[in-house]
Amino acid sequence: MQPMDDALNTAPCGVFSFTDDGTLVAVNGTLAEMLGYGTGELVGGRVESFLTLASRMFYQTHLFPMLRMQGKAEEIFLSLRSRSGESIPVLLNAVRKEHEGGVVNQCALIPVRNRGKYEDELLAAKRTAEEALRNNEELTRARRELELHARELDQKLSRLEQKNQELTRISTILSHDLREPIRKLSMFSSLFTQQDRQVLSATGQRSLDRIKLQSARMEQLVMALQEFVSLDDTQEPLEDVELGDVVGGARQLVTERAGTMMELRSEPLPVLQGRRRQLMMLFFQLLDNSVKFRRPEESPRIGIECHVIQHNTYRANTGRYHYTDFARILYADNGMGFDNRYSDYVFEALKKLDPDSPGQGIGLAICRKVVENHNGSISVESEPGRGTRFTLLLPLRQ
Amino acid sequence: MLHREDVSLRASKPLAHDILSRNNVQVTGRGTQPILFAHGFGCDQHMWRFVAPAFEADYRVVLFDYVGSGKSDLHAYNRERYSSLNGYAEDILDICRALDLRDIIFVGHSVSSMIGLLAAIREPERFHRLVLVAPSPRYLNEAPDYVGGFERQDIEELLQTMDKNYIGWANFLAPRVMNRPDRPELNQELTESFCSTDPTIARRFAEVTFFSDNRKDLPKLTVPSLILQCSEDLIAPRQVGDYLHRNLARSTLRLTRATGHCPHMSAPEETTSLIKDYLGQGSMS
Repeated sequence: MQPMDDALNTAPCGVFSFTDDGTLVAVNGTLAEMLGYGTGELVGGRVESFLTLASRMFYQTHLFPMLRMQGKAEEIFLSLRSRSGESIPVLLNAVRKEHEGGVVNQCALIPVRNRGKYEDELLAAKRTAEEALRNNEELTRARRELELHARELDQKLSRLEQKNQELTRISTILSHDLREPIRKLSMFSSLFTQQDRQVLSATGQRSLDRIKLQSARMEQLVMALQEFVSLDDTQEPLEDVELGDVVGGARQLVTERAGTMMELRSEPLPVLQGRRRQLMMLFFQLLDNSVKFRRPEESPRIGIECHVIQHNTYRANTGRYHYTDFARILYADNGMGFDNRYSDYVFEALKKLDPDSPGQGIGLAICRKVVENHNGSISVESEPGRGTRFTLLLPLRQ
Repeated sequence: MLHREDVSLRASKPLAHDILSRNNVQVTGRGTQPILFAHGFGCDQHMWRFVAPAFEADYRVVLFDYVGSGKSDLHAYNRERYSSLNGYAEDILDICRALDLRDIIFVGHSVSSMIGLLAAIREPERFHRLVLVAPSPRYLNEAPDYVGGFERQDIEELLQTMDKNYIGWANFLAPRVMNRPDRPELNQELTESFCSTDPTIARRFAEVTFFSDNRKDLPKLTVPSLILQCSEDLIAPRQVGDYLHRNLARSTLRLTRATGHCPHMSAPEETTSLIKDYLGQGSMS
């Protein structure tokens, strides 16, 4: 420590200096006395030793970065803590200086007890005013938003109602009007007996086989579509669904139907509020997809990972945020995969990448619809020959 | 005014370009693997300027300011979004998407450690390693067994101290040019090096930072991490570092010789070499 000259030692302000690691290298008599220490007692200790806890934090998060970044700090308010525990409000100026090959931070401070009280009152008044202003602004904004939303909502509701009627109509068409002629078509073509068939020319026979095949296909397609459309029916109640059970059930169904074994490894899955039948359909379709599009030389291997994360529940309203718990489920298989360019296309109904592959092209459209019915999202990444990975985000509570 | 003026009802993804200017994203370096430096509370990306250059030879160095800090777009501040650390994690992920960053080394100071943790929990496949400088998952003590270092009253006092320092400052820590007509380069330097921050936003950031509790998130992290625990750090004391190390799978704990809460400013060489050591080990295994 350099000897402090007498004028500085007894100056009517506290003077001290410290190195970057926080070690005090000089403290003048005025400051030592103000804090209730003897001259030289504080040197070698840490600068934080005479700060209140809050001021230590301010020193670490603001004052030190400021000194380090810009070389000085002015009019900083801090509270000192004296030996007896008394808190002393001070204003401080500091500069950072090269000194004997090292760097020291030199500070001067004056107590501001009376000014501090006045500032406290000012601050309290300022906060009240700000609060009132903000509430007012928020109210005005909320009202404007509300009006805007109310109109949009009304338009959307009436459109939705119309859409619902159309959907109900389509559902009837699918389940009755369309299925009926198809059923008749299959029935009448099956009425052809072996003898009837033999009377036909070769072209006639081929056409008959085609009619049978196509009407069977048509029937399946209509059934798949009906299943897809029926997902819009929200009659099914919301309940707490144990996702692990759902995956187990879906697995069993797929195994029974396909007659193929699969290897399924799943991390523990959470309970989430949802529609059980739909969630079952979701995992059925995912697993069915993995089995259908497995690589010929390998049995299907599926891994499910799950983490609960915080995610914004607002989806259509940009600028609104409300974070709640979502299950982020990573579903990966070792199947054939596909070119990632088609990662959006595969979720569209009746769109198939390979027209000769099994299925109606509705499975992933069903998955997307179930996820969206649950206010979640689904995306896919895939690579030919490497497998496919779906990322699902599903809110734990609706 | 900071509030949004109109409300969009349509969902729209922010454009990459908008994100980069919103968060004042700066990309340097000659490498390919990204190293993303996230500043802590009370400062901006400049706090990394003694450390980040050391990584430019081998990495793609990405620096940014959170909305409300430094030269970010203050108009993008949204109270609702930034009322929890999730909103700040969203900033990180926005930047990752805008630059299509993958295999990222994330370096976060103080509260940014937890922001990075939240981002890495949400999209683990983007992150290669996390480096947590002076981290804490919970600043308040929680009886009976958690010692965070602070009582609620201490934090209230810190907020008061902040308020008092913001009196009379339209923009505390804002650039003030030193009057040195003889040395114009100094003016530039000062303007560039300041840790500027909007006082209202900084105060809210402080509340979000010091009252948040991320202890329950720790077991969800799957990305390996380095905990840089400082000696005698009042804000993140030793037992907090130990707690993190116990609860973060695949974590490495290193104690710095540097004291205080800002080793990247008080001892940049040591901090740099500890990070490099850790990253070096990773590539060998």
